[in-house]
Amino acid sequence: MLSEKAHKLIAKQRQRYIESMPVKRNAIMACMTQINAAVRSGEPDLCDKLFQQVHRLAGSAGSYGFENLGQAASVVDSYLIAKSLQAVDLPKLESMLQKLIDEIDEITDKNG
Amino acid sequence: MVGAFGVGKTSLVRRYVHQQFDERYHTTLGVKIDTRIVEASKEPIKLVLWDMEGADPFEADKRPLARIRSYMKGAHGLILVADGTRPATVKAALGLYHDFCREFQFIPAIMLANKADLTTEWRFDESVLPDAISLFQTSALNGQNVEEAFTALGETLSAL
Amino acid sequence: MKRVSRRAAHYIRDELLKRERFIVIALDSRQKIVSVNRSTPDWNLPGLIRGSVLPDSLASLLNAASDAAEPMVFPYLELNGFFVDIHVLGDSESADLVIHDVSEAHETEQTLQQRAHENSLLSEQRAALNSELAELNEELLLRRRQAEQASAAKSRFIASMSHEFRSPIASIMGYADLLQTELPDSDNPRALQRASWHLLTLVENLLEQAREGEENVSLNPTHFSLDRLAGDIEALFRTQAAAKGLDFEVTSSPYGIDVECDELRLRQILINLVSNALRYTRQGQVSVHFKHRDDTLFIRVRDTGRGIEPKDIERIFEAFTRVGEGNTSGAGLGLTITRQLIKRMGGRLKVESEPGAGSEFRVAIPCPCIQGEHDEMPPLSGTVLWVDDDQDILSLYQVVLENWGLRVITGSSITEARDLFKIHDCPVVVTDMHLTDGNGVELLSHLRAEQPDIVGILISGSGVVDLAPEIAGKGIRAFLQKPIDAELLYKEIAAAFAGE
Repeated sequence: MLSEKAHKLIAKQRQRYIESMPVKRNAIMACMTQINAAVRSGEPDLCDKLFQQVHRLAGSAGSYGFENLGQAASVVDSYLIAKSLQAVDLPKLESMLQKLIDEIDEITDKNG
Repeated sequence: MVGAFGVGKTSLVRRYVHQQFDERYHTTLGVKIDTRIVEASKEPIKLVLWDMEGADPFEADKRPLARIRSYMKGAHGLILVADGTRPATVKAALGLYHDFCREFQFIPAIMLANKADLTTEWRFDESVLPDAISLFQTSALNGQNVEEAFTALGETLSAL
Repeated sequence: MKRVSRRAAHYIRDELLKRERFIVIALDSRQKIVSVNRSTPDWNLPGLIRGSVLPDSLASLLNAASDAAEPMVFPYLELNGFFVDIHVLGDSESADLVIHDVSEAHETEQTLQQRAHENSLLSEQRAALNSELAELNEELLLRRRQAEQASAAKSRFIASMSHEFRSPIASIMGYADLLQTELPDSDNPRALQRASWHLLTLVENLLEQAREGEENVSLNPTHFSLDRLAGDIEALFRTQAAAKGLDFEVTSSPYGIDVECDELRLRQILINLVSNALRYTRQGQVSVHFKHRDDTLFIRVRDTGRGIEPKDIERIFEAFTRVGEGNTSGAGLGLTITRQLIKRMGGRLKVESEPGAGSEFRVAIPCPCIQGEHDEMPPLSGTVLWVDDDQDILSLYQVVLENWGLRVITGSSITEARDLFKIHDCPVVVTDMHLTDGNGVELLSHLRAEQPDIVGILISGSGVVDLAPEIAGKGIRAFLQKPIDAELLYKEIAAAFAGE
């Protein structure tokens, strides 16, 4: 389907994607901390930010061949789509996000 | 001294009698006579050398033989001369010898295979010689074997 | 002359004596000179004195003539610088020697004889040289025949050895293939394959050389990817070029096509040409470019090496010849075989070179393009605008689409996309549903307003199947889910450009 040359270029891209994992992770972690605070204070924006991160991850992880990560992200994505901040079940969200973080960690660990 | 033309008969006489050598070829027409005393063991002998004109080794031309026939009649010895680099001249010399023996008588004969100095072109085959004829490989150019050849003939003649 | 009168006889005698010179010597029985008579006073010979004995030379003649019945003639005898005929008349009791001066006649005849003998001697010499020449010729012929036989034997040996090499090499290549499937993430099996190919081509070089005279060697066309071949050549020589500090580049166009050709021989040609280029280049660059067009494969190998003198351009193709100084490596076979192979494949080879500047070898080989099982994907062409707020997606699919031959413009927001759309002509637009400043449907509406015939493809990460009624009829051709199926994407884009 794709020439060997393309495969090489894609491999390069994939490597870059893996290298971007730590940044993505931090962003999600930051959102997590803030949401904890925000739920108590009632700020709606934070959920959007989190949603954005997670939604993108859900969309890109599969394309780069990281199915499990994509799956974990989709779960959070679906959950957040329907809810407003008030409706969020924090512990549930946190545990979903933790699974997501775990997937990220696994990728970073495996690929150095 | 008989043989094909250009074998060195005149040069051999010149070397033996005058100790000289001229490398230019001057054909002998007719006969030249030279003499030299050879110290044979019995007594000194005066050799009267008749240097004959040369025969054509390739032609069955009897003209030279006819012309020099008169001279050959009185000879006491034959010096056959051939050019060691031209095999045809050996055949001619032997032919003359056999013609002589048939016409006149058997007399002492020696064969001079001349031009021995031309080592790279030497093509002389000794095997064609009859045992009766002594062979000398001579060079009128550098004198090789010249004295020896004439002295040997002198010896043979003095023994008769 | 019997009945001639005395008067006439005397007259003849007198006339004769006017023209010729004679000396007549009368001898007694002891060979003593009794009298000496000269026909003319100005010709004499020494040693002829009345009363003395005959000189030895003349005496010996007398002995020869002694018992002759008739007078004997001794012609052309040299006597004191004169040439004389001597006629001996009489017998042992009394004899007359008539000495006749024939010097003039002798000189004339001698000149003629001299010339004749000289010619004859020259002819003999020439004949001797000719026969020597003939002998040498024969020996030469014999030697040559022997050399030819030895050479043929050697060729047969090389051929048989080369055949023997082929099967273990084939075995190695087979195992390399297996390793590739067992270790898909490793580059090593591929490197092993390339090295094996290299070895194989060297062996094939030998075989080709040994087969030089044969006409009917068959070609073995196979299907293979041109990109892969280019990649292999690049990888094969990359290290060698780097070690010499040379830039080395292999490019090919178009992307992703398969061709039908004798791959092995093509590799041989390439390896030979590139090895050569690298060998003779000390600084600068070696570049290899493949182009496929009109069922012909064009190859260009260019270097910035020492170049080839015009007088040597033909010689470089001679077997076992290396031109120029300082060449010790290589057998000198490469170019010979290369040209042979190209000819066998029905192709053309051209060389251009400038001494000191470099050389360029151009090859054209007939080579059909294959649209086979490997490839339902002919290259596309056109410009696509891809809009997504995720840079990771943009980077990835830019690579994929460019690989298909497309030109890709990327944007990450509606605003950016609209700006880009104004500058670039983009008949096909792929956009994510979810953008920072709006959604994909809105974007497409904006763009359609400016250019109604654009084709849109929507991508989304979430299950938005329920949007389908909304988007129907709005120039949106397809709706794809992330992760995107590449084949599907290709089909949709291809169809979009085809106007379906």
